[in-house]
Amino acid sequence: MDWRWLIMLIPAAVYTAQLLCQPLSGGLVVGLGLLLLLVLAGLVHNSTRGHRTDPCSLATVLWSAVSAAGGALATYILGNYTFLGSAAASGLVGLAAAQLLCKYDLDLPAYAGVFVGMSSVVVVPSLVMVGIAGFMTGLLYRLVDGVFDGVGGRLGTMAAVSVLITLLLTGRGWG
Amino acid sequence: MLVASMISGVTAGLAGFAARKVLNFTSVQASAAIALIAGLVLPRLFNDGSFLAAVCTCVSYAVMSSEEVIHTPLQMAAVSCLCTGIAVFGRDALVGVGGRLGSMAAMAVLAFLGLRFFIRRSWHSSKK
Repeated sequence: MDWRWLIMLIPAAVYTAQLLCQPLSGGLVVGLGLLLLLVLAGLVHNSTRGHRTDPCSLATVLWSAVSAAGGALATYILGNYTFLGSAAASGLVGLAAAQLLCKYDLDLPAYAGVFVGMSSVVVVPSLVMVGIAGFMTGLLYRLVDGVFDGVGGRLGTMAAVSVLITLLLTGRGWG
Repeated sequence: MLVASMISGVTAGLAGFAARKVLNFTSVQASAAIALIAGLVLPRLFNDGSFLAAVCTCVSYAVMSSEEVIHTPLQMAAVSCLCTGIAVFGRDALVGVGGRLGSMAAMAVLAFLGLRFFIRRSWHSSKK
C-alpha cells in the first residue's frame, strides 16, 4: 500500500473524528466500529487491484486542474446563487461536462471539481477558495491515479481532501 | 426518516445501475442525471426532500463504481443501503464540506468490498 492511500483516507478520518466528538449511544459506537473494520478490510482487498497508468504530460495535468476548477466554480455559483440547490447544480454541471469534455478526456476531473462546488457558503465563503480547492482537486486527480480504482466516490474523496486542505491552509479549521 | 431515505437511496442506486447497463450511460452521465433529477424533484415533494436528494446524490456517486466492483442489481442495492446508512448516521459530519457525499459513497463501497471479502472467506472455510 503506497503513501497516496493515506491522502485519500483524510475525509474518512475527519468523518470518524467528528462523529466521535458527539455524544453517541453504545449501539452507534459499535456500528461505527464495524463500519471502520469493513472499510479497512475493503481497503486491503482493493489495494491489490489498483494500477497506475503511464505518467501524463504537464499540459494534461494543468488541463485537468483547470477543468476541475471550472466545474467547481460553475457548481458553486449555480448551487448557492440560483434556485437549483447544490445537488441539482452538480447534476447539471456534471451532464454538461460529460457532454462537452468527454472527447478531451476531461469529464472526470471536471466532475471531481463539481464536488468542491457543492461546498456551503458558510464553510467555503469565497470564489477564490473554491477555485483553489477545485484546481487542487484536478492536480490530485492525476496524483492519486490508480488509488481507489473502480470505487465509486473516489472523485468526491479527492474533492473533500482538497477542500479540507484549503480550509486548513486558510486557517478556517475543520470544525 | 431512515425508511424514506433507504427507499429513495435504493431507488436511485438501481436507477443509476440501469442507466449504465441498459441505456449505456457513462459513469458521469448516470451519476449527474440521478443528482439532477433528485435535486429538482425531491425537495418539492417532501418536507425532508433536500436531505433525501442528498442521499440520492450520495448513492449516485456509488453508482460510478466499476463493473468489477459492483456487477449485479442486488450488489447495487446493498451498496445503496450502506451508503444511505452512512449518510444518515453521519448527517452531522463534514457539514458544508464539498465532497462529503462522495467520501461517504467511497466508504460505503469499500465497506461493501470488505463485507464481500469476509463473506467469501467464511464461505470457503465452511466448504473445507
